[in-house]
Amino acid sequence: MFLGTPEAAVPSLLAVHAAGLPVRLVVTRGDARRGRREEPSPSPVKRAAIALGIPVSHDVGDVVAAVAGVHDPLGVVVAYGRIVPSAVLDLVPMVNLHFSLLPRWRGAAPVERAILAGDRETGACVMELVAELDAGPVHSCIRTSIGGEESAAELRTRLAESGATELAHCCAAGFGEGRPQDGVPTYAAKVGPSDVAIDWSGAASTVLRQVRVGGAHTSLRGVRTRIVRARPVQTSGDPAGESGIVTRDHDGAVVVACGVGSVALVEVQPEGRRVVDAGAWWNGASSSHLGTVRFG
Amino acid sequence: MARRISATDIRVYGDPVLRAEASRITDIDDSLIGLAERMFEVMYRAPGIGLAGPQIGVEKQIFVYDLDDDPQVILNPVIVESSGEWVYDEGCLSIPGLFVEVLRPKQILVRGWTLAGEEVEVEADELLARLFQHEVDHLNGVLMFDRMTPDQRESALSEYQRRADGASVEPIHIKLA
Repeated sequence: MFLGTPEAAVPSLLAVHAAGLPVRLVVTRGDARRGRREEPSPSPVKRAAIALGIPVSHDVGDVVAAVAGVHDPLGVVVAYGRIVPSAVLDLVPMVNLHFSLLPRWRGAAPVERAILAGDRETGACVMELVAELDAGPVHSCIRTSIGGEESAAELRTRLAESGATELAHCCAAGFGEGRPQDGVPTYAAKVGPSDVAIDWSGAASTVLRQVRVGGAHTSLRGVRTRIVRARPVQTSGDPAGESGIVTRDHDGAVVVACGVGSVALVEVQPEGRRVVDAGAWWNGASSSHLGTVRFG
Repeated sequence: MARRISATDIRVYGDPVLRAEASRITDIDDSLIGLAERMFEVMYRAPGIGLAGPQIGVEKQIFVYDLDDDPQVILNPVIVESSGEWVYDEGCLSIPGLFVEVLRPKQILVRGWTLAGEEVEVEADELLARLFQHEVDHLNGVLMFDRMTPDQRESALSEYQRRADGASVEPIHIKLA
């Protein structure tokens, strides 16, 4: 059995399959609508399962029928996005690949929270799925350091790949007794707009973390703008000016002063517009629009 | 031959054409296509992201817009559905220098014609929905002032008048409460 939904779960499905372990059924969340006019589209895991010729279900209850007659059934859960009911878990033991060093960052957004908190190291754990959220005994962990400019998407891709290898290895080797999680748990709540709303009066390092998580937004010259990419600026010590003020330095970098330090914008996306290079944004924003968008 | 047109041809607040109801377009001919081209020219030069017929003195139900490098023309538009609420700092080429946080529906469905005479329905959200509502208002003689709260309208009118009298060249920003 394999339960998973997004792109980050696909390497695990492929690795378990490639290890020669029989996957009888894939359970994934229902097809999601992307954009306003698009037809609902299948999840990445569903597409991968179809390509591998594995039956797919949207109902976790189907697991029970699928394991009928199977000796030692096992479910593998990676970013499924739903709670597995205990009635199912009682019949089919499951292991879960979670993208943090447990018990740190139990919950929905471990990769994003690790970056927002400024963690230098994270990892992925294979653990037993229990009723309590991400609290099961751990079978195996891999560790990795977080790159100083690595985005959440990049880190998630890395963890998905190396975690998948570890997961397949565990599945092939068999699971012994897990080791209880050791330490004080922290919880990784889903990241919402308020988590990535930029406060320029804060530290540049905080702003950069928000940008790396994705969706970081602010108001620039009266227009709500998403900061797609940014980089740290080595400041000479003097503050560049009042926080939130945008300037262009002698190297052509578009720099925003923060409460502590400064940030150079690399790519931005003004509301309703496409992603543009910060230099192009600067030229457009400073020459044409006085304050905000003018309709006719 | 088409008359040269410049951004200064945009009619501004006080011009009665901005308060007239534009008439439905029944025939699509070369002169209408020429009109749309002139409207784009004026809009880009202003610059703005939309322009309605009455803003260059043409009392016809036509507007042009360009969001994300995607220039479009819509004729005889009607808003058939709207939902949600969204505040946006709105500016108007016919009310220069004034930007007001206006509360309007967030999503809308607009029905109209394309320049090819085909009926078209466009679902719009946020900025595009705002643009459509603003342009459809122009075709009905409705201006931003009519969409403000009474307090906003009072300060917007007085500050706009002061600016128009030459007291200031700075843009005016009026928040929602």
